[in-house]
Amino acid sequence: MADPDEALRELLGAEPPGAVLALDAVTRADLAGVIADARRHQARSLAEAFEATLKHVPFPVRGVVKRVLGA
Amino acid sequence: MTAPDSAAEIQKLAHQLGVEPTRLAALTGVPAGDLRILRTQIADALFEADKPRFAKIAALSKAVPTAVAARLTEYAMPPLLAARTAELIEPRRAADLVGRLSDGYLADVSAAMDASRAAEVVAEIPADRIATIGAELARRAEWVVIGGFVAHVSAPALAAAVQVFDGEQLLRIGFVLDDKDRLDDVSQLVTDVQIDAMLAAASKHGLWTELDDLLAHLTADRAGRMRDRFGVAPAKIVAATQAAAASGRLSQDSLAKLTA
Repeated sequence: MADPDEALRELLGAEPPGAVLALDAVTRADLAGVIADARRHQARSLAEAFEATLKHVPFPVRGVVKRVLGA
Repeated sequence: MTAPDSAAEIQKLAHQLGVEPTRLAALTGVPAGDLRILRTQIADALFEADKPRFAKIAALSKAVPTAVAARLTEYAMPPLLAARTAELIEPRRAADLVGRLSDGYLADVSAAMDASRAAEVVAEIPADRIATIGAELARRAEWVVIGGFVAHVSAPALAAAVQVFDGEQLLRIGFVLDDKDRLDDVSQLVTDVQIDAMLAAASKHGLWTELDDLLAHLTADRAGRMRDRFGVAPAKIVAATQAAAASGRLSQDSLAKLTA
């Protein structure tokens, strides 16, 4: 995502505040990178949490539970 | 809004993004109101990004009796997943579930939770449990988490929680409160001993920005108690406070509230 404003809009799903868009391009790109990292970290952490939870489900029904939960 | 407001917002934004506040130093000039909007936008985006996954867990949990769900949750579900799921469960059921979880696990879940997304659940948690969890979160230095909860806990719970915090903790929590209007409530609840401890902590730990922010948000009446305690504070604390004001680390307005 080369354009930092587009990256921010896409990551936030909303129009960023004016004062944020008024920051210099390097800062806007850096902010977009930090938000993208947080989103990746959350996805990874939740996936790991999900797997950890599934380990407590008896093996014979684990596949069914996994499919139901979309894991 | 003031410069301390922006600094507090950057601290909350950093917590949300999992980075140190210094990593966001370039945002220092952004007004606090815009930083708050940005933080809300990020929270919404993070919540929506993985919502389908934990929405299914929340739906599944309805099929199990609460007592069983509580045992299963604590046994099998990591706190992050439990926090996200709790934000989607019907509030009364979630409150019932929370009531059956151990203190340690509930503190873990609280640290991972966005209190504003589970405000009705937080409001239902009994005062003694809020105090216990608050003390544990303070031990972990989870100031932003506590600051988010303060906006939503019941009045009795707030009173119980305030009792367990020391001066340093009160200053650090007050600085990042999501609802600064509650500072007035908190200032009513603190004892003279806690006010003395706040003044001492500002001096000992250099928490001048936090003290400045607190005084800026107190009504004249509430600031009067701070002034009274400052009037009988040890000489070294008075000297340190005056030095902080002279060097600009504490505003002249705040010094005036303590001395006028």
